[in-house]
Amino acid sequence: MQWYPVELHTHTCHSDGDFNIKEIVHTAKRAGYQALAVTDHNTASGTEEFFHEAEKQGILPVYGLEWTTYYGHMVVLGEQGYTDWRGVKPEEIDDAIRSIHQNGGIVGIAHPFSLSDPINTGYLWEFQIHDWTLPDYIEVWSRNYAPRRIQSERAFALWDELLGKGIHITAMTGRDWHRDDQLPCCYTWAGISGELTAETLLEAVRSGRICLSAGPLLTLKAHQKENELFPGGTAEEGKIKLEIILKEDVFSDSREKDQITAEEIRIFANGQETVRIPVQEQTVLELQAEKGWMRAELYGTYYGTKHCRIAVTNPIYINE
Amino acid sequence: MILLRKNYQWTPADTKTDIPFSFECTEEIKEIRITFSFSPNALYGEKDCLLYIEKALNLYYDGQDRELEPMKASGFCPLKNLITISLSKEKKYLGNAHRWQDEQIHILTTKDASPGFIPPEHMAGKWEGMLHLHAVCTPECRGELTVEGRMEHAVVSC
Repeated sequence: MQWYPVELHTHTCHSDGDFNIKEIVHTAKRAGYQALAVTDHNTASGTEEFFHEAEKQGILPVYGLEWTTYYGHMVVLGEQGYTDWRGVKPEEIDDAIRSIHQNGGIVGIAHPFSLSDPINTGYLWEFQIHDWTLPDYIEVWSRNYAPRRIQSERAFALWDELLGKGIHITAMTGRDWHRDDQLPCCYTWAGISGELTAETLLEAVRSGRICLSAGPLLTLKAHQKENELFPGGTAEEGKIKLEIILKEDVFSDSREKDQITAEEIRIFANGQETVRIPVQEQTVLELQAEKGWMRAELYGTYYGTKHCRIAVTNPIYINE
Repeated sequence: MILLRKNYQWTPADTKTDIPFSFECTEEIKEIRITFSFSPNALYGEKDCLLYIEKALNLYYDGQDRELEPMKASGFCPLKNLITISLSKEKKYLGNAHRWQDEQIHILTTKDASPGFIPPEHMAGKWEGMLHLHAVCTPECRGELTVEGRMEHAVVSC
């Protein structure tokens, strides 16, 4: 299993971004991303140039756009065909997501609790989802300085609530990248065995084989009987061996490393903290898995804020 | 040749509404030029802005201690109006120019289109558009929409 840093929420001059296509591809490549989606507001007009430039500069392009409506924003990736965003009322979003799925796309709820109207129009998620198995992911960390922001705590609380109801929804980051502002952001890492392609990447997002990081990369592997499982996978109740891997030196930006200090790893099961372990490169734990979910989180100091969540894995689900 | 010319007057009550428009192109037209502007572009009075900003901040903090993530309300002034245009041609969606611009020019031919749009297969026929009123913060906002058809091409890029 290889972990690839990807960014799937960005904007260019085709909507309200400051980047042109060449610039965003270059900036993403320079930052170390291995895959990139250009998700302009309600348009994919830059796609042809984007795919050409991505191939030239050696980064995997992912097709997408961001539904930018009065009732919330939704990142749509990989849709072949088109579902019209215009006129979709808050109570109609489930059908819209079904249409996108029928066209082979996946959807993510963007920055659901960000500061909204009229400063950032439509940022607050007000669509009425009835079937929470429909959205593929939710951005729990959005934009800049996410780990210390109230919008993030609210997004994590929603995510936990959904996990507690048995909904398998992936947590992602979304840079909502409009300009090369050099501000601290969070990273999505996709776990893929085999070749990194748009298809394997979107499958990793769909299935939750995703780890999130504000700097250090925390990943999780579970061993149960002869099975090896990663985030998004499903284990059985009973004995389970968790292997937690921490890589602190994943991006070379020394300014960020000074501001982010890893202090302890915590294991959560069904929303409750079960184990705390010191920061080390590899930890193996033997635990009793109970029905529900379990995940690993890294805590530390983030730009002056102590006891801050700075990395998190998507859950391994536990069935009866 | 002018294919459409409309004037609008909006108030904050029109926020979060869509205004459809349509026009026809004949065979001779090789390019359309959509000019849209609105005024005022923003609400500048701090006292008026703070009423909107406080509401937005209350929704954001949701009862939590504001000191956890302090934000200066006046830092969000002035509050811009945001009105964007989307287009379709014979039911095919051509895109949306979603950006904070109070003076907009969008040019489309069968070969090129302004950022946010893709070129149509044919110019001739019925076009449909919408104005999307994401934010009308000023007590009044006047809009002017003109669609011009031209016989020559222009080159557009960003």
